[in-house]
Amino acid sequence: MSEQPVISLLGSTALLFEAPGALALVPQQHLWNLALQAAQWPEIDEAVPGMNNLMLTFRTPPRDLVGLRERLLQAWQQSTPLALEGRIIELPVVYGGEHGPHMQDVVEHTGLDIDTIAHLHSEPLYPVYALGSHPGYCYLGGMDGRLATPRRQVPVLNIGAGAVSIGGVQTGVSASAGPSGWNTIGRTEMAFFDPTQNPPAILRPGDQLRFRIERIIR
Amino acid sequence: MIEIISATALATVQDTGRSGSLGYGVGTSGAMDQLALAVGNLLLGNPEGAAAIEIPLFPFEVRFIQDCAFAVTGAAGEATLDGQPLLPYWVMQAREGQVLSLGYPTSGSRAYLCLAGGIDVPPVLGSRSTQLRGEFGGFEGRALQQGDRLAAARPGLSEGPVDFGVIAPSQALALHCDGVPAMRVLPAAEYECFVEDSRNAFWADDWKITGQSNRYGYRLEGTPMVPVAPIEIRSHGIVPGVIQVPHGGQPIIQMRDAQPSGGYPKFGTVIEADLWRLGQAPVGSKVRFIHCSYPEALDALDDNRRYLEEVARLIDLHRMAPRQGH
Amino acid sequence: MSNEEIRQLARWLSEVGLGGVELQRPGVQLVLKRHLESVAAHESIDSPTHASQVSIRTRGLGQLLLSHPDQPQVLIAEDNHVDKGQIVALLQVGDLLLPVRSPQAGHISQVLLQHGATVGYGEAIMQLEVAS
Repeated sequence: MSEQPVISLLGSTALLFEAPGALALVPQQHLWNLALQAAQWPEIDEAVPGMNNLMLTFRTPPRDLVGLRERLLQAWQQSTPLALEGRIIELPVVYGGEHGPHMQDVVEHTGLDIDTIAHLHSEPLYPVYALGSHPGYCYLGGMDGRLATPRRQVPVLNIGAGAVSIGGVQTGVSASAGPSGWNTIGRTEMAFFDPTQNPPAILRPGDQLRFRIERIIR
Repeated sequence: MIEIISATALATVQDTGRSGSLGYGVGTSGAMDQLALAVGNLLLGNPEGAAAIEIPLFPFEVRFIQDCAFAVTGAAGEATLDGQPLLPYWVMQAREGQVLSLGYPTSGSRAYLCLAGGIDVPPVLGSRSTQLRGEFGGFEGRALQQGDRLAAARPGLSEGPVDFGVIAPSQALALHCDGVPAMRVLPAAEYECFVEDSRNAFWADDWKITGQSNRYGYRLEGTPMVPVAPIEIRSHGIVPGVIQVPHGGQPIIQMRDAQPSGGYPKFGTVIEADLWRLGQAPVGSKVRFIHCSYPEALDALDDNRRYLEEVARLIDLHRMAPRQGH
Repeated sequence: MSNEEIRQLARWLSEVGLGGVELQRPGVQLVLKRHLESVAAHESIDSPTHASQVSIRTRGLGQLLLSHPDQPQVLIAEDNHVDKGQIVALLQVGDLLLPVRSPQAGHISQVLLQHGATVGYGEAIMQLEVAS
């Protein structure tokens, strides 16, 4: 893991800024601050946080890329983590059973039983790091490392809305039906996105999610 | 207004795409061939980014419920208006009751049906593009079906000239490598994480566009790409053109309806100026990739812009020329 | 060829970047050069050789295309039947493609010029045998 941020290109369409160090909330808060600043720059269309990284899409790609990189590094070095005040939202989850089709894979990989997995998963308060993947989907930080299970070799073509899943060291809830390469361990009911509202996503960076065990199907 | 009269799948209303909502998890969508969309709109005197119907499967038939000028750009195939041949990249006046029929393409893979004024559907989050995953935007947030009726913003008889065409981008901006259609690629963050043989093969080999290729992503078939060591990537924002290499080593090029974020290693990104070439590459065809630099990628965008400006200029001149009866 | 057509021809010339054009074909002789104050234009009427034969003529200056750049086949060939209004050729002006449509139904008896030929206003490109 490098000590310096890594800046790379996504074609001529965007710049990717990756924060150094372990995946954590403080660098994420630092990136929220960087995003607020970079979003104001004339070359930048949108500043999109990811998991301890930031994508800057170009309004018009600048000829002076070196200047932009320097400005970005400087803004990172000169700014501080910005703790966004958010809400705490609780989601009831049915763990296992037909809506947790990959629970057994997590059991086998982690060596833990279903009850332990459900309790470890529902214990923390998960900060919303970023939105991405599909409309309203939240990338959450703070999952217990003992639950980490690699993304699936063969993604599932269609997993339903509300699927609670684990991908690598991350966890998340799908906001609509679609393909997924993560391990789905349960299901919750929640409306995450309404295109007629402003903002259309119900959750935002700075909010926190708690999963509550509604039922464990063994 | 037009009515879809053929059974159809995968045809969607698209404009240039939805920007500004990546932070909500909403990808850009938008036309797979942005140049075809722009030219079709220019032929009709529409705003360049007006919405049109993107047609990936054929045959495709519509009936004009009202008089309306229209243009068909993109893939070239056997096209007729009430049985009369229609040439590619052409603008025509349709009369109420006439049937437009688009047959299988002989070149390209996606056709664009543009209507005078653009397809009149409500914009959602700033765009008329169809967001299939979120089920909003475009025509009722879904692919078009037989029986659907779509309105044009400016129906009736065209005030501007009709019955002419333009040279297609495939002619004006042709790019090939050893006789195979080519796209320029900028290396991405994990480029060096792949073994040298894989990197060399990526640039030297033909890549086949497999049948599992669509608006979400193009799955390529070729020599599997081997990472130096297993790579775990944190989820991060991506854009159309990003070439991901999952387990198995067969690359997937993320396209317009791809997730706006991803966690697979990325080898490179097809430059924005060349995405239209991919959009027109048929399933089963071969493509080549050309290594390019960031300044070259910007130059390519300028080339595209110059082509559109030239087309716009000539259409304006034609518009001003004294009209003769037809 | 009317004065308005000659003016428009001159405007097209400057727009497509040509310094001048000299046309000598049966029935038309025209010399146009930019920056000259006067133009010389000769015109003679072209009388059809056959009572039911009609010339299909261009409506502008440009390059004659007998097939569309995106299509391998010619638009029409000698001895083909043609409908009234059917496209028989294209006129390319820069990136613009203008149709040449048959004025009447009939048969193409002769294609007079080659693909890629530079043509002017009112130039005969094909002979049409009109259907009786």
